[in-house]
Amino acid sequence: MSDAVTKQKEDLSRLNEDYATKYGFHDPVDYFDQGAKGLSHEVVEMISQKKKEPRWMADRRHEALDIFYEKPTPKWGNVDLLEEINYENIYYYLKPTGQSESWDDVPEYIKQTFDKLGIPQAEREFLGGVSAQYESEVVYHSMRKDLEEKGVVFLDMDSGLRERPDIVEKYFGTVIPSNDNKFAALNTSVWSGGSFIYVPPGVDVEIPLQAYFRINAENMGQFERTLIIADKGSRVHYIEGCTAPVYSTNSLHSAVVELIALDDAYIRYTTIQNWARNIYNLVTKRATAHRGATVEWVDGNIGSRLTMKYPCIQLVGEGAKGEILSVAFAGVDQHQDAGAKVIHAAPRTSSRITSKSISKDNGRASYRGLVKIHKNAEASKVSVECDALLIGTDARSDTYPTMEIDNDQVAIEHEARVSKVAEEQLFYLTSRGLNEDEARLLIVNGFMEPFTKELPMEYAVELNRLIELEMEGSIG
Amino acid sequence: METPKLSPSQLTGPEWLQAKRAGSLTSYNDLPLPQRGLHLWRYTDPRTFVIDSAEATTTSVESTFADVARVEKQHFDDGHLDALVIDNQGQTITSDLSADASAAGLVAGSLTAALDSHRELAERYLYALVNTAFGKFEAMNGALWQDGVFVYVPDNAVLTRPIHLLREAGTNGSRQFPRLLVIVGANAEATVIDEYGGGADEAGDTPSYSNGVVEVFGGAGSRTRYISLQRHGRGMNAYLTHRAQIANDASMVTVPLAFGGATTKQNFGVNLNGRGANSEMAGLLFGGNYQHFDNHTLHHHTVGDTYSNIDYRVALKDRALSAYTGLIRIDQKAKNCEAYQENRNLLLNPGTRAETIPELEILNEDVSCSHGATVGPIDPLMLFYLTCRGIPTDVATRMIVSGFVASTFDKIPSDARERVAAIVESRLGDI
Amino acid sequence: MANGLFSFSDVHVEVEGKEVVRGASLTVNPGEIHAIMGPNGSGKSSLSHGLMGHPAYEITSGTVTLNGADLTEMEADERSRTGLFLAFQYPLAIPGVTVANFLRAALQAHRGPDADMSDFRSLVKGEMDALGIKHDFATRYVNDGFSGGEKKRLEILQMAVLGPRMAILDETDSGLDIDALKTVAEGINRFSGQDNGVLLVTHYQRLLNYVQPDFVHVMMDGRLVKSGGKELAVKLEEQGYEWIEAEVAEMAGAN
Repeated sequence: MSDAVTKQKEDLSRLNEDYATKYGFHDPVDYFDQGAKGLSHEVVEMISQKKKEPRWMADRRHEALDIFYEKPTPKWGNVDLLEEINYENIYYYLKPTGQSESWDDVPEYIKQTFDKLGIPQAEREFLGGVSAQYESEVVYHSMRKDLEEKGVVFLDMDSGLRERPDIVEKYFGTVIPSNDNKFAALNTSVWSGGSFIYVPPGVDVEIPLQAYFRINAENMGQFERTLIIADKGSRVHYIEGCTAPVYSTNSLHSAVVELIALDDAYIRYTTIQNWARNIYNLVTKRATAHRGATVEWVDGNIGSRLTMKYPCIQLVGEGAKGEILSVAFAGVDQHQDAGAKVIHAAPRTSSRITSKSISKDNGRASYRGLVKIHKNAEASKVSVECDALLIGTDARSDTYPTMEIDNDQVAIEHEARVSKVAEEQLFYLTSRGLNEDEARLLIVNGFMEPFTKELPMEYAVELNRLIELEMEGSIG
Repeated sequence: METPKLSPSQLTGPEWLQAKRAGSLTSYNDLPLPQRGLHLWRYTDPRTFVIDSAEATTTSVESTFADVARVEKQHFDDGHLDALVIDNQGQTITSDLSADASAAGLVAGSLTAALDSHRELAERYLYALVNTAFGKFEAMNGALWQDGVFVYVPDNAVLTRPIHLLREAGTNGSRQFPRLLVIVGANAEATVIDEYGGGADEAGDTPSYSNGVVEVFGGAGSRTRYISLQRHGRGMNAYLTHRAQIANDASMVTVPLAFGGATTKQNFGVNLNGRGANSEMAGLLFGGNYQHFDNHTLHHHTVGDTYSNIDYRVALKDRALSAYTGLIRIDQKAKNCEAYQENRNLLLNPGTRAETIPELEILNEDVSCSHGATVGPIDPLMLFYLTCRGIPTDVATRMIVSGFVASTFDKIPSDARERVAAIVESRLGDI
Repeated sequence: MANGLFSFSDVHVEVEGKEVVRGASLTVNPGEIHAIMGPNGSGKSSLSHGLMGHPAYEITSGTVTLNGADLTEMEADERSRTGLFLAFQYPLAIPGVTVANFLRAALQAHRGPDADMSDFRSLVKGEMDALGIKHDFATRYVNDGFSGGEKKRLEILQMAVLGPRMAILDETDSGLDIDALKTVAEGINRFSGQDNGVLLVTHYQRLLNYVQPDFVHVMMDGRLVKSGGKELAVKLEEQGYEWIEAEVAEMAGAN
């Protein structure tokens, strides 16, 4: 190995060191309200009581906790890491403060946190509504007046339950029942915060709505719950971002996100997950698309110690469409077990899955997917494409797609490729004057392009910057 | 589910083998039944392969078997084969070797006999690839096989004609545990056709049962072609585990062909264990009626500078089901590997079902690796193109299916090709 | 009974519920070469596919006859055996099926199941030689990995071997280099004779330098809007299609 390459590899190994300065700070906080560590029916009851919930929700929580106790830990993904989780050493509910609708009323330290993360600035510039969650509760919430006038509901989930109990009770847990998996059960039992969105028939929410999730405390478990309902013919784009400080012990983030796109509606859900590298990110996301509806998951996973997340779309109405665009970056000690699921349960439905992963240093990126075509889903089309890029000799990439086809009049295509940055490409670029790091970065950015081009500009810039940090070697 | 503990009346063979058998038996009895739904058991009920007694049960196969045996005997007499081995239900193994093959030092015949005549080889290689670590059903075969087939091609021996193994299962209610050990020496060259027939004829008959193991070793610089042809009757539940290992600069072509059986679960794998090793697999499965196939393939690159390619094709009609799981694994120290995999599924009518799970586990960056899978009916545009030339739709359909299977056919030696073609043709008959 | 060798009258073609040919009529007499020209998207290829019986291109009204037989309700293979041939713009690859097997199956289908095929090899070899196709072509899979030129030559080879009464050539000149174009044109000229008809469907006039059409028709917006001799093709090449658009609009106004 040449000196230059050796040096570059060494440089690469020091990547993401600035997470600590950029996102890794934490606030010394006296919590407004803090439950004891550990999980029990008492904790569940306490959370429900504090939120003054209707009884049906409390019952739902208790029932889910029993399911959580019964379900074994998954025997796939990353069994070793999952077994390490100590559910007794986690805070299940931390309330920092009350909620504000004006940025000025938010406590100074939290304001500074979100200022550092650029949240209010982003809101002014390009968002239709913002929700900011700090630990278990949403601390700031606002939405543009014109959207409110059109009947768009954008609330934190707790307020949603209080103000629109009819809609919440009708849809809550219908896409992801508590017994779907162990972590969905856990979330259902202790959920707090998250977003509730309802878009009335025919309304086009032209600018994105955003939520920002922040874990501050050590040993914190964040269990937000999001429910989005796009009524007939409506359109909405929702974006979420997440960060946390760097602690030596692990925190758990286990969200449940349910999307319902009624006839001819359109939902796009964009995630930029940049949790600190001690967060376990075990998330269940699923959408139901009715006749003629379209659902798109745009899912970027950069941070966390272990992510297990497989956004799912159930195409239950004729002509429904689904698209899942997933990107994972696995650096030092990270395991991104990400993927996609599409269930075709109606005729003439179509789906496309594009997965891009980069494994660097000893990082491991796995694509895990399921495509299922039911008997009645004739004339359906599926295309799956997985591209994996490996950087460094210890990097690992896995591909575990499953395709179950129960109808003969369909067109299913799956392709996957695993490669490293091609020497010829590097040579071509360096022969035009770029140094090797610049060339590599350019190639990696090109590899991610199908994803970044789907992001709002601010996010694309942010993502490119993150990748640049990750890739940074001898530049400068 | 609790499975019946097996206690065979005796564990046969020399002392070292008895120890192996005893270890296998303990493993079988101790290991739980694979959990339904977990990896590799998502589509097949493990209980299908559970048995209630350790004893092999045989039946008379003379009448069902006579035709094929006669044809192969003729092939041998006509000089098309270097060896013909007939394995009757794992009980009696008979063999004929050509003069050339004998002169070249080929050994092909009873595995039990080889335990004496080639003790060192047998002790070194038997159970080396498929053993108790593999799983419950592999342990069952390891404990219970009676007689099997042993093929040894000495270093530098070049056999130009196939070694044909006819493995005949008993009919209704029969139970057998076929075992095969193939050792191809350094720079040697051989083709082995491993043909499994027999079993209960129809789905309604008392089912027959087979649990087989195949181990194949390719020495440095060797060239091996191994064809596994499964054409059991429709009342057979068959489980088969195959593992091969190839050394430096060895090449191996593995051709798994599956047509018969009621429920069939087969696992074919090649470990690329030496630099410059090259493995190709060309599989073909054609299912009809209510047949259920569950197939796995593995290419495991443990050493760098190795190449592998898999092309696994599936055609289904009636209510047949195929589940295919193919894994490419490249170890961390195996640099500069190329590995490719393709699984195509042709669904010839409504009611068929195909599951495809092409997996990759890549643990280093110096690789070039890809896989692809398709599932769908015959391309209507292809059909239109052919009918535009005046070819009737049914003929055009058969042409397209024949085209679909052609690339696998090219890998089948001529003496078996006719029989395979006849099977495919009969399957195509009512399309 | 319709006049001429091949004729279609007031043909409408729909693709996925959308009408792409909106009433086209033409008669080709034995020995004639016709050309249909038109801008992209005018419906030329849809017309060709509809005439050949492509399942996705449905003839919703109008009739098609060849040598007195009504083709309109026939499947594609029946139309072929009745003597109609379509050379595809984008011929399909049929992996695993050799050119030889394909040609034999097609010729057998035309001649009947019991017909003598002993002349097959010499027939194919002769036509291959005439088209400058190497004999090992016969063992390759149909259009699988073929270059653009090879695909078009294979189309002409099929036409020569099957000897249809009426051949429609859809953009057969597209993607060909000059040598391949000449070979393909020679093939068409050799095929064209007193008993059969040719319909060239093309965007460019290029092929018409090598194959002289007796009649040139212009297709626009799903209709044949103008007919003339060879000089019409030359004018289209020089002046484009705008002047015809203007003319059509003017006529529509006059009516």
